[in-house]
Amino acid sequence: MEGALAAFAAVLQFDVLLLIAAGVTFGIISGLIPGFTITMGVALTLPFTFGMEPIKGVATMMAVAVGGSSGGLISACLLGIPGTPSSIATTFDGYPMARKEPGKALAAGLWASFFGTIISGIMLITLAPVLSEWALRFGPWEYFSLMLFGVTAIASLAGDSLFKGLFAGVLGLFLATVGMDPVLGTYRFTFNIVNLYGGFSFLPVLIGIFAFSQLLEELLKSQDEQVVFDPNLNLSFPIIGILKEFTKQKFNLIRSSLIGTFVGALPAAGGSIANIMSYDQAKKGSKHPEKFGTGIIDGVIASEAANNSCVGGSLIPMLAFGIPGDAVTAMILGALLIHGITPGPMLMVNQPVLANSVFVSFFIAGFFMLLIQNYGIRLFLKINEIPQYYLIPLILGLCALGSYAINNRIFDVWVLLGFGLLGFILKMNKYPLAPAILGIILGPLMEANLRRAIMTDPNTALFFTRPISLALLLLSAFSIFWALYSSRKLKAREAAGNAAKPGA
Amino acid sequence: MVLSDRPYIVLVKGVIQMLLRGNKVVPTLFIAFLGLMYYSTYSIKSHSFGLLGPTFYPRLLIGVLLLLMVGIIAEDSIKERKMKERGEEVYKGVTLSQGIEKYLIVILIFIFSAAYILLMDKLGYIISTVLFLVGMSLLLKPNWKEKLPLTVGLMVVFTLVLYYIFNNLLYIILPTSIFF
Repeated sequence: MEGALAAFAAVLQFDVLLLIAAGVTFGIISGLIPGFTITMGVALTLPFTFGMEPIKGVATMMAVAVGGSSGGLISACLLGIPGTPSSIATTFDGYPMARKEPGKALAAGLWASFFGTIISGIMLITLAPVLSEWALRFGPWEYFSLMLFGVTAIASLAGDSLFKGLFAGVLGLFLATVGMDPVLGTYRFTFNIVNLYGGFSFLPVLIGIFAFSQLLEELLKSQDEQVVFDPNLNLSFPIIGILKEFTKQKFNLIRSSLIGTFVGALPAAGGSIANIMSYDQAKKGSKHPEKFGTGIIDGVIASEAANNSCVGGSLIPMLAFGIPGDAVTAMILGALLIHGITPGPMLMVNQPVLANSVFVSFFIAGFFMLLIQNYGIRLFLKINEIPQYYLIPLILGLCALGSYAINNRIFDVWVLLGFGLLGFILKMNKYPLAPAILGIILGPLMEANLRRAIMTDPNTALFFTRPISLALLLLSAFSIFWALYSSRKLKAREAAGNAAKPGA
Repeated sequence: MVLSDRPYIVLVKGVIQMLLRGNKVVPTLFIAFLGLMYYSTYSIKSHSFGLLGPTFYPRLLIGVLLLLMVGIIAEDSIKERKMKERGEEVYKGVTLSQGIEKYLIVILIFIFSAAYILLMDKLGYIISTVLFLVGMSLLLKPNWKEKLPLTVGLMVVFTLVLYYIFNNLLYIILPTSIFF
C-alpha cells in the first residue's frame, strides 16, 4: 500500500503528467499513420527517456503504448485503413459506420478503448502481484522452461511458417550470445572488436529490426493510394448518447476486454490477434450476426476494447515473470534493462514504487488518451497528411540519434544499420520479427538459467520432474503441435476451397 | 580489360545471380553465416567444464538453427512441387539487374545511411544530420526542386531542436566537429 501511495505521489507531478500527455499524443500519432506501428512509436520514444529518472521514463513509454493502441481507430474509421494491425477489425464496422455517423463511430471506438484500458488495468493490478509472488518460488529450471515457452509460443503463432518462426526465435537467442558469456565471462564472437565485448546493445538492435526495416518496407509499397479525409465531416457526438449505447453493450465490452487482456498476457499474441478474435466472438455471440460488417457499434466496441486491453494484459507477464507479452512490451522491457531495472518477480519486492508507477501511469494514460484523442482529432488527421518524403527521413534521423544516445558511440549506429538490414531481409522473406526480438532479449537470461540449473544439479531430468518446469515444457511442445495442427487445417480448408471453385 | 570483364567481378556476379534465382538466397546466406560462426567457436577460450563451457550453448543453438534451416528448405521445396503439380507458376527469382531495380531505393538508403554514420564522426552531428535529412528527402521526393528552401529549412530546424533537447535537456552529448 505504501508503494502504491508513493507511486501516486511520484506520477502525479506536473512534469510527469506532461510527459504522459506528450507520450499519449505521440502514441496516437504513431498508431494513426498507416505503416508506423506502436512498436515503432515506443522505439522512437526510448532515446528521450535515457536521461530521465526511471519512473518518468516508464510513465512516458506506458503513455505511448496506450495512446498507440487507440490511435489506429482514427484511420480505421475515417479512412478505412487500419493504422496498426491491432485495428484491422475496427475497419470492418468502423468504416461503414463512419460513412453514416462519423462522430458516433469515433466516439464508440474511443470510449471502448478507454473502458478496455481501465478493465485491463484492473486485471493487471490484481494478477501481476499474485503471479509475481508465485514466481518467487521459481528456480533456474522453471525460469528456463518459462523462457523456452515464451520463445516457442511466439515463434509458433507469428507468421505463416512454423520453421521460419522458430528459426527467427533461435536466431535471436544466438545473436544474444555475442559478447561476454554470462556465467564465466569468456568473450564469444567478438572478433577482437572492443565494442562487441559487452554484446550488442538492445536498443539499436530493437530499433534496427523493427523500426528501420519497417520504414524500408514502407518505401517499397506503392505511394499512389493516398486517401484524403473530408474536412467538413461532423466528428462530434454527445457523450451521454454514447454512454447510453454502452449500457446496452456492457456484456460485449467486458467480454472483449477480457479476451484482449488474456490474449495480451500470452507470451505470443498481441493486439493484432486480440482484435480479430474478439470481433469473431462478438459476432458469434450476437443475436444479429448478419449485421456485422455493415457498420454496427458492436463490432467497433469488440475490436477497440480488445486491442487496448491487450496492452494491460501484455504487462502482466512482463511484471510478474520478466517476459514480454508482445513486441511493444519487449521494447519497454529492453528500456527498463537499459535503466538497470530487471523486470520480474523481484521488481515488486525490491522496487515497489517503480512497479506501482507502471500501474498508476497506465491508468492516467487511459484518461489522457480519452481527452487528447477526443479534442485533438482534427489535428491528428492533419499530421496524417505529412508527406512520406519528410516523415521517413525524420524518423530515420531519430532512429540514428536514439542508437547513438544509448552509449554515446557511433558503433551503435552501425549496429542499427546492420540489424536494419537483417530485419529487412527477414521481413522480405516472410520470417516473423517478433520471435527474433524476444530471443535477443531473453537469450542471456535463458542461457544463464540453463547453465545455473546444470551447475546446481547435473541431473537434467530435473527439468522434467519439477512440476512447474514440466508443465511449461509441455506447453512449449503443445504450442508447436498446435501451430502444426492449425497450419494443416488451414491448408486443408484452402485446398477444399480451391476444389470447390468452378472450373477447378 | 573493362572492369566488368575481370574474373573476380564475373565470379561475384555469377554468385549473386545464382543466389537471386528462386528462394535460395536467404538459406544460403544463413548456412554460410552459421558455418562461419561454428568455425569461430573454436577460437573461444574454453574451460574444462564439460557441458557447461562457454561454447556449449552457442554450438547447441547453431545446430538447432541448421536443422530448422533444413526444415525451411524442405518446406519450400514441397510447396514448389505442389504448385507445379497444380499447374501454378513457381517463383523463379530475379536477375541481378531486376534485383537492383526492385531494391534500388533500399540500396540507396543504406548507402546514404552509411555515409551519414561516417560523416557524423568527421563533421559532427549538426552538419551531417542536415546533409542526411535533406539528401534523403530530395531522394524520396518526386520533384526534388519543388519547395527546396522549405525542405532545407524544415530539416535544419528539426536537427537544431533535437540537438538542443539532447545536449541541453537530456545531457546527452552529441558528436561535434571543429565547426559545431
